[in-house]
Amino acid sequence: MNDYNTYRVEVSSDTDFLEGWKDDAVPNMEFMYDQESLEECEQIDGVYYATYRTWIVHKEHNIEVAGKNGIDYITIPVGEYGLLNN
Amino acid sequence: MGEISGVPTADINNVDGFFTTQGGGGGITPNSVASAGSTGTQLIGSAVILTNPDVTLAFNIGEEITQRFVKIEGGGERDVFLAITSNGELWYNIAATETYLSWPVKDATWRRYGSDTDWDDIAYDEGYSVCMAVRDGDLWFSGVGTGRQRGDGSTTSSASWIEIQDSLTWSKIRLGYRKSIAITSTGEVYFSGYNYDYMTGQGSQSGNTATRTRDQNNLTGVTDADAGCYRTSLLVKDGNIYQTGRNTYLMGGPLISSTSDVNGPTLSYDGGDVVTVCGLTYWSAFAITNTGQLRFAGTGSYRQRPDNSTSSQNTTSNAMDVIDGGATGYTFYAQKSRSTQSQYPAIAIKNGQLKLGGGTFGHIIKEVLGASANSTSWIDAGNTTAVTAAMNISTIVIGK
Repeated sequence: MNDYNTYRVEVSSDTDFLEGWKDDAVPNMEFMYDQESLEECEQIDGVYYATYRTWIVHKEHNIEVAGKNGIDYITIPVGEYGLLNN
Repeated sequence: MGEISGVPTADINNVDGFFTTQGGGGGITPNSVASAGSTGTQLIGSAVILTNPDVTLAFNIGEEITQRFVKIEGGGERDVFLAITSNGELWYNIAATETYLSWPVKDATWRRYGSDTDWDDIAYDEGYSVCMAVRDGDLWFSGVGTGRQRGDGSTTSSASWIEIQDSLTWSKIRLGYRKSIAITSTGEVYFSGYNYDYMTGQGSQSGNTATRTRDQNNLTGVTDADAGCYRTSLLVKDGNIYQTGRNTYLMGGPLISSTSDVNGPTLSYDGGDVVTVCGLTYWSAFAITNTGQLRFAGTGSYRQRPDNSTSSQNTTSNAMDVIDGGATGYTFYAQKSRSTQSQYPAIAIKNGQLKLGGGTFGHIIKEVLGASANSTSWIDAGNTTAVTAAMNISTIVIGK
């Protein structure tokens, strides 16, 4: 049972490969492209494509995060997280 | 928020004077030991100081550093070395060419950092040029932030020390390939970094853990860890080893028979005698027992075993068996290792003697004895004439 899906999206020279994106349901994580530069991306007819993985949680998951004011206890419901909205 | 005392923030007009006054000691220039009064057979550079403080004292160069270094991190290719003393002082030796760290004086000379005496633990990752420390129970960071090792959700780099703002009390910090492992004063373990192959113990192989998060199995009583140079993490609890991440060569021990990635800290060795896990690379790992024996798991062909055997121990019947005929006296083992390298110079301390080796083609021996040397065997460098030939022994100091 996979705990991730891989997606392929268009990227450009403006894409920051070192910064990730957040999903509100898993605030301790960042999601990132599998590639770290445009040069690593697949190019088809002048268009660059990167891939990324989401996280699929099959069973409710409790985590403990080191927060500024104490331990943050977070419950992550079943679902797929980290999907880009494009 | 904590502060670091005794660190200049303005122009320094008299560097040596400042550190003599504030730091309590002058610098020790690498390879200056001979001029400091030792004999020809004691030509030891900073590397020996770095590798084992006991050797430092044995070679009578402790006069310039009044406290023993109890932990040393750094090395590799960036000429960054950090050390803490038994009374909580932080010392550093950073070359001027190091661009990522903007510490008070970078002149490849041992200098004390500030005047505080509450530095409890240090770690260094050459890959991202990151230093982290535990100071009076708090985590501190300096270096490049994009590796997600700082663990507070930020990717901002900092050329000087900054305190990581959280409310936990920490005791140990370990840095490795794109990850950090922090242990609290009560033995809970928290990871940050990339989630490659479950190496951060979060149940995910996607993205990264940007904010320090406890392992998914909520281990307690963790006493040691090695973040390694690739996608494996090892933890010590009750003298046993727990592994998460890649397991290509059964590096954590015999109890996990599959070579698939391990999803969350899982018992991999249950002998109950391990004090320290160390030398974790893509290929292998070591552990030192409470009787001073050295355990080994993984591939042996890279000559990382100080007993000069090239035998592998990567099966469910021999991974993490003791090596060197069960000899005791081991107190230290480390490797200079990066995921992109296949030759890992290594250092071990056995019965107080420094041993140098590692690398398929005698890599470390060449660095110590010169390019003409081609020995693939380990050498005993502690208090032997072999050390006399060391021209720049600091090149073999190991990083993570």
